[in-house]
Amino acid sequence: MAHFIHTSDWHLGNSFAGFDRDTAKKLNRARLDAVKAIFVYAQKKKIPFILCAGDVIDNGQLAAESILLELFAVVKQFPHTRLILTAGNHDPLMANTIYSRVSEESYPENVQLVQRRERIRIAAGNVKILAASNSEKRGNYNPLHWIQPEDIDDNMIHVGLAHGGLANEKFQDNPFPIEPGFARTKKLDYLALGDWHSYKKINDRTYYCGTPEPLQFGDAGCALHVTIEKQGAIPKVEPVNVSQYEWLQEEVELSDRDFPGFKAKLAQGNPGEKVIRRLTTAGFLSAKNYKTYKEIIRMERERYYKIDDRVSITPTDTDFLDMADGYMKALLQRLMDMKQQDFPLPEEIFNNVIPQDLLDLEQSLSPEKQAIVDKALLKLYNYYRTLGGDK
Amino acid sequence: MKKEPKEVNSRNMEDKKLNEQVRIRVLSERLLLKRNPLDYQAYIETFRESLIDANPHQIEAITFALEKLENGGCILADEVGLGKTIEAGLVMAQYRASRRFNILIIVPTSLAGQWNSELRQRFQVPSKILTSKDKRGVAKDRLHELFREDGVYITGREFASRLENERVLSRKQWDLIIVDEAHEIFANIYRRYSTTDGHYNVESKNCKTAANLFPLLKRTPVLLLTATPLQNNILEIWGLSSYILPETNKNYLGRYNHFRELFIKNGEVPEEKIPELKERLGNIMVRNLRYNAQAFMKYKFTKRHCETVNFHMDKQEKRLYDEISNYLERDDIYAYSFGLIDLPDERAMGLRSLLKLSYRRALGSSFSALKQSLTGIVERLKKMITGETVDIQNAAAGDDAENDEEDCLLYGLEPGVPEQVSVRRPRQTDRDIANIEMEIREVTDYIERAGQIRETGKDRILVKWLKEIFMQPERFYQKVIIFTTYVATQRHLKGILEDNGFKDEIVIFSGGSRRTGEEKEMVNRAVALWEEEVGAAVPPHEKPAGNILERTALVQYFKTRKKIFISTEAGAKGLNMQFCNALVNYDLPWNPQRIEQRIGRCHRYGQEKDVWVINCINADNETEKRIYDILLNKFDLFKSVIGAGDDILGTLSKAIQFEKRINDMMNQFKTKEERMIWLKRFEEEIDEETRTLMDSKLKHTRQLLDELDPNVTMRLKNIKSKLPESFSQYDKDMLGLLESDSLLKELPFKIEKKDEEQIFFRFGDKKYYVGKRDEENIRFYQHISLKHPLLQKIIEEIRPAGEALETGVYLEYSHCPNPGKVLTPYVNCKGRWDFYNVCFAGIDEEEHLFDLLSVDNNGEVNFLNDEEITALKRLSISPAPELSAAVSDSHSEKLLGERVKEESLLIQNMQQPRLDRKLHNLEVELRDMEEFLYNKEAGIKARMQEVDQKISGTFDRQTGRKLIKEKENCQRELKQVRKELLNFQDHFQEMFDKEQIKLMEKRFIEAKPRPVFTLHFHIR
Repeated sequence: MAHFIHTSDWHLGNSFAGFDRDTAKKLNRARLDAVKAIFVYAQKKKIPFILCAGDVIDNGQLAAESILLELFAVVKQFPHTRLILTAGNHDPLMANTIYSRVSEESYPENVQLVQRRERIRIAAGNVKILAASNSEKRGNYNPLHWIQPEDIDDNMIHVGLAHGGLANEKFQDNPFPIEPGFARTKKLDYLALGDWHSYKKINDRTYYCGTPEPLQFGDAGCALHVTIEKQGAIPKVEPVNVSQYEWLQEEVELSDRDFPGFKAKLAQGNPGEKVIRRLTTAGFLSAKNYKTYKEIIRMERERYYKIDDRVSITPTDTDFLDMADGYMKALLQRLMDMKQQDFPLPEEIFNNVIPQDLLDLEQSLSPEKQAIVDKALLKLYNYYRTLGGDK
Repeated sequence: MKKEPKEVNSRNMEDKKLNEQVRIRVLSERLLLKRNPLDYQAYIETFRESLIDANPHQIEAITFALEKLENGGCILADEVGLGKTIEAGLVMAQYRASRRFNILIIVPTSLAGQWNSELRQRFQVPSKILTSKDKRGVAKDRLHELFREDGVYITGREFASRLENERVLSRKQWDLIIVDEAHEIFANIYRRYSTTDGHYNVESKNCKTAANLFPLLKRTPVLLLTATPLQNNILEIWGLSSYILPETNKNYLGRYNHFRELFIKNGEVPEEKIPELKERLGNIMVRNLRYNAQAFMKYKFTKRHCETVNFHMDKQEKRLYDEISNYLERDDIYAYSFGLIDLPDERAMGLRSLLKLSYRRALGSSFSALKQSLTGIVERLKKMITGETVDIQNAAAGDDAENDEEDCLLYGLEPGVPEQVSVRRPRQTDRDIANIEMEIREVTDYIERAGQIRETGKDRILVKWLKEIFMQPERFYQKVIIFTTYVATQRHLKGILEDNGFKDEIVIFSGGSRRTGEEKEMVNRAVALWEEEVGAAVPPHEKPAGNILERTALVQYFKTRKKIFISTEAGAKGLNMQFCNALVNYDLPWNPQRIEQRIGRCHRYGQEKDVWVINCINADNETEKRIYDILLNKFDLFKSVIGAGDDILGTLSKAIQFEKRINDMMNQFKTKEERMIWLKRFEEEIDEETRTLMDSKLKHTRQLLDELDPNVTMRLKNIKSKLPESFSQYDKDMLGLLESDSLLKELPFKIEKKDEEQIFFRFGDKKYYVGKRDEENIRFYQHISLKHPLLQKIIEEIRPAGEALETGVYLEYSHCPNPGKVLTPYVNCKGRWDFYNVCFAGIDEEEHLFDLLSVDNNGEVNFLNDEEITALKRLSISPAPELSAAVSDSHSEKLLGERVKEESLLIQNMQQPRLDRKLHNLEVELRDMEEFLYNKEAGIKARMQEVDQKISGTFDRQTGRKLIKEKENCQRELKQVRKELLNFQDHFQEMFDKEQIKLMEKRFIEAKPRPVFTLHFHIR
């Protein structure tokens, strides 16, 4: 039986432009900590080796040597866990990239950087790794194209390791395209890929693990604990979450009615937690609530990476009426009048103007009516503003 | 063949036993389940173990606290009388239950004893009080060894601050720090923050005591207790909240400058900002109000009344009293001057003030106390002549160590450091010796005359009052507590009362160090009675010992047999005597907090009658009368529902340092007229202070504390309604366990009686009860809890290591009276029932129980859902050992694996923020240490610069030599610190990495399943 960790896309040394210096430093530290967590897991579960499928360093050409040396300092703390690295398109094996700048003596004994193509035998589990490093930033070939039938030995477990995109109709321009069925074609028991930043199972034998620590909102990667009983067996793949920060983005449409809940939610947060937050707010608030909202946002800003604040003060009746003239104006006036009265909504007026979900409401829902009309008016107003009508 | 009845009976017995074997295993697993620290159920056991009522507001507070402690801490700000100490104790008990033993409690020195008592009595939590005395003889670099063992430590805050100045406390990894009366000292930390950029100023001279402890409190989960979080301005609340987050400049209420900008206008919180600030505060502070909580409490608050008893001295008494008073008021007597000329002025002044304070107290107490003080003076005067040394602090000491320490601190003295002084012979002139001898004669005369006065005016009036009290059984319990500061007075009173019809009705209670033979005999008698009547029923592991046993026994002796309890200040700490509602202050300390402590022995939660406080006041001493009037009228000590400490008025006493001011005034002004003028002005000052506090300036701001959460009443109601069910289930499980055991062992078991909170039963030949613990039933029934040896034994028998029950059974569907339809598809099917306990190890260990039931339904394995499982469990069991496994192990293991994985993820997500926090705190701690060393280095360099300047400015050879030596010392120190710093920096990363790996390992939850039983069943 063989078991190992599949990881990739560490992107150490990422600049995190867009963050203040302090946060960028912390996020970079977190990337290294995520790698450390992988080693801690491997040590705890007695996993003999870790395969990293490329993009170890975010910018192989410009990164300082210290970044790689810091990585080595971490790896040295786990001398019994072997690390097999391949280079990706961010850190290809070129003359002036970081791997050539750092002397060979600095490499810990348990680290192996795969050269262009290598066949590595590992006694633990009787495993043969067929691995390739990228030697350029873009290539239109499968890095493992060189694998031959003779490379497949009896009774050994064969694992492919490479960095590249998926070659299919949807992703035709991917560099280093790899066919989805490659593992089956080449009789590999498992194909460990890097390049995608989120976890994806391509098929029973082919996986992207994603980046273990998010680089941006939406990244959902992890490390994979892979277990293969014997040659030909379907691998058992268990995702292992090692990320240090949670990246949360939220879009909130505010109204006066929702405002207390929004305030309470914001106030509940824990400023000490490791979360990168992005908040997009939109909607309309009364002048009083708007003022409070602005103060809260100001106080909370430190906790957020970014707040896209698109909340406005609720327009007055005059603002609404100024939106249009003629027929539209009459319509708007009628809508505003209806807030005070209790008669059915004429369907023909709202076609193509009011969204379907509003139309579907029964005409006798008078307690809801006010809210619906408000919503309708505000939506119209929003469109109007987007078109620059309020200038 | 027809079965013989005997066979049927034995078959029924076998069935029953098998049922009980399964039941007992399930119940024991449920009772012993190691729970998540935030699980509400986790502290049911604590409540059952401790002697407290589970009041809903306390459950609310501890639920809040346990949750918030995960994020750094919170403020418990319940109004006075609602039991913050209980709440803190419950939190501590919970921490200990989850194996977090290292707890530090930082308190006003005088409350240390009380905390120690309460923790022991209520929660059986032992704690160690550490005071300055414990520091004596311990080298600076070994001070951390005072805290070497795991456990609960209680220290005064000044002492804690001094220790932490040397980074002693930081050397220990504390699980929890509790700060009592946190608004005193700690709230003012805000003064060290900049108003412009909101940054913390390390160099600030403000609030040094709090500043020393600030980093430690910030990075440790902290519980801040205060009934008065808002005294003078809202920034105090900001200050309190600053202890919660680890980053120096971070605060739940926002940065300091932002907070001021947004929430303060003209010294107040604008009315429109109140709701928002309340919401924010609600995240870190819980405040229950009496009017909310009372409705759901078992005992309601009673009133407190005051009776002033004016007494007159006869001619002989008055003459002697005045002469001694005049003597003690003179500044030039040798009793105050010896040896002190060699001390720095400030210290000498402090010592003199301390002595005068102790003499004034003795004067106000009794001639017996005075005699003792005067005897001490004579001894010291004699030593002056011979040149022996004298410890002055000890000369002023009373019966209570913590009060003595507090008094020392009041006068700027370091407690526990003996001020040993002597006068070297060559210093004295013949004239001095003659004067000293004259003074000795004078004082000896006073002593003799004092010895001749047997009964005083105060004694006569006390006896009269006592007789009146005992004649009103409807108003008073037939018990009275008399407080006095002095052991000598105590003994005098005993004699007087015995002569006046109260022989054999008296219990003497003191600190214990100076007992007479008769007193020791009484203690032994009390202890023997306690052992016989109470101790026999107390489980060995709960039996008190030593001083604690003596105190407990004496209180019990008073409660059951005697009418009068004469106590010194030692008895004002931690004794619960709600069975008494009459209290006499034979002498009255001028310290509102100490008065409050005395009254608090009777007037506390659990008191069912109004409490009467009788104060004996010397009508012949106008100054004393006047001081008393101020205490009576300006502080709410004697009148309110609960008393001082409550919001505004409690603040007052602390703000103006009442006793010290009075003492200093008496030192400064000698005539009655001067003193009365001063007192008038003092009274006006108090009025002004009160007006300021009550002022409408803070009227809005105070609204903040009215009700943080409008839904609190609903929640308390909810808790109150759920509580009985949780307790009931727990009690039933325990009872069920014992019942099952009795059936298995064929021992007698019978429930004798039940009430709302307790079930009394007989098991074997002994009587027990489960449920709420109390002291009433202890004589006849033993209380059963999980710690009881009986239960421990049963559990040991059920859970031998590695063994799970595995057998075949029939599940009797056809015999079930109401099987329902849910199981119909499974009749005649075979299956298996696996019951697992899975331990999840991450930061903590927590256990979960898994019931996995699967049925082989015509070759297809179906896992039963919750409804089907519940129905199946209602079926009775009969043995079928011949049955083989219908469902294989692998099916069961697969399902278990899936369920365990789901649970592991949930637990990991819950624990992650705690891990992050620990890691962060670790980093902050290490950085702090580095900064501390840098600052030390900078300090030494600055000193060296100063010395260099002095050297270049001096021409005197001797001075120059001294300065050079000083410089050399600095250089040596600098070298040492630099070495320390380099070492630290070298190891910093290594230390950090090691700890980080340890914490990271805890992130990956290890699940260890333990099978409890497997039943291969056939549903028939």
